[in-house]
Amino acid sequence: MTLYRITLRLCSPLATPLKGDTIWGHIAWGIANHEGDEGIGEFLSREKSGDPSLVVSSAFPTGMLCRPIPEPQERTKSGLSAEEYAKIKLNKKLKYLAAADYVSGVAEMSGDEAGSFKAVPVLHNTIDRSSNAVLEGGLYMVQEEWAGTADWDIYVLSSDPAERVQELCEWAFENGYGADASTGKGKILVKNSPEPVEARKTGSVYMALGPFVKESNTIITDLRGDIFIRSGRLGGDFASIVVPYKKTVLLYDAGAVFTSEKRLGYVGKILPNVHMDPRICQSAFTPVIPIA
Amino acid sequence: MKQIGNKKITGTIVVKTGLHVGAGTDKVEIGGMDNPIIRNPLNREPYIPGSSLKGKMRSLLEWKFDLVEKNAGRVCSCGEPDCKICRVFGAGNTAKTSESAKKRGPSRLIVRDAALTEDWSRQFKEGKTLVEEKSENSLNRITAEANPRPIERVVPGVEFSFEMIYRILDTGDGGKTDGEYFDLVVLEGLRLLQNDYLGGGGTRGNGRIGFKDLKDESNKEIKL
Repeated sequence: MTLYRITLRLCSPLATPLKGDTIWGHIAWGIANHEGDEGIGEFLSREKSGDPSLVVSSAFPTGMLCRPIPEPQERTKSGLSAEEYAKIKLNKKLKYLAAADYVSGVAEMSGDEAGSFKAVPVLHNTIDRSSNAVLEGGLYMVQEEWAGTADWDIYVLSSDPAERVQELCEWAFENGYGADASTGKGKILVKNSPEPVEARKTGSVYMALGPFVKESNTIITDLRGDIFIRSGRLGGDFASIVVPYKKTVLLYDAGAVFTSEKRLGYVGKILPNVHMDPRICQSAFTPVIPIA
Repeated sequence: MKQIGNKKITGTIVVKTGLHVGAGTDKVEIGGMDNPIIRNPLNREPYIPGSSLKGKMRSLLEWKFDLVEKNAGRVCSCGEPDCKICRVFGAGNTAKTSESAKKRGPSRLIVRDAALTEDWSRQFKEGKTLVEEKSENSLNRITAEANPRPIERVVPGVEFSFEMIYRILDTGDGGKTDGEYFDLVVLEGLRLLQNDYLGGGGTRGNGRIGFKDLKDESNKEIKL
């Protein structure tokens, strides 16, 4: 499998964060829209087989990667200077690091806070058609995420050729991304064709580039990471069914670090049985790269 | 269900009379504007949210298709597969609509946020005033006591880039119904919007807009 880097251009605010499992879900919907039930059925059966053809990372400001979750260290030295304290505080706030430090083929970047999102609450209302006034209970607030930089990278580990990966990414974003896409949010363009990048060849410490679950039968040890709760919402023509939510799952987030003696390209798996409809599944795998 | 086509309309929205798409005031600032317009929080440029355009089109079309009285002023969300409004604009997930949701499919119309055109964005960066502070006033009919209030508006002449996508889905009819609804609903919605107003204060002169240089995905001119 080849690890590709694809740059996306954000042309509007987002209502849904650019996490790997959601991006993968949009790719699956793109296949369903363009290739119908047969195409998506074939794609999903391959992804569930344990030999997936497409594993997608979360998005990072172009040229950057998420910060690895550091190993907890006991503070042995007492009486740190003000500069040393300031450095510890600064390091804790870092969200991204230069991708060139971990994968080759990416131009070196600087600026650790580049591209952070600014959350802005925006009021919306529903108008009573008869009176032209705001409908009773029709005023509501939506949180929008405005990106500080327009270009964001995703990493795709795939056995498909670059042309197919690009096609899938374009299908994923053609109808907008995430919530409120039909009212202007999540306008994303695929800026370039997939560029192969190479992770370092050696190392037993790995970093995850997106959300994942730890499988019980893998040889992952010493896993450190942030976790989050995912209550996925169904899209497309499933969005209007009685229960449009998937069962809640707990995922490790991008930046999780673990060790493995076996060479790995990705971790995690597709989670089945997350909804009463057996066709619906949850992406819980992500590309990983060795970092030490 | 399969997506068999994507109709894309691009063009320019020209502000004909002062445009006020309100931002809401969730905090009070000393010396701040009471009725501000919505702006990009990063560069302070005004923009028109896709939700304002889509919501207004939907509202005007519900009047045209005689759905207002039937729904007692509420948004039509019958969810019927052939409902022109629910099929094009989408319907909420109520138990009533869930059965027909799969026959109907997802919203066909995607309306993007309209940002300033490149030229007007450059002028804004160079310091040109694109926004005015208009004072409005209501008078006590007996004492003539004034109750003034300022309102922020985008000045006439300013242009925004406009884009909408209309999906054509094959729900068993080869996309025939969606194809028909493009003219019947989407283009009609744009015509109605041009003849009505956008944003607040439309009955007293605000919010008249025009569409300019509308083109489809094959660069062919669209006439409203």
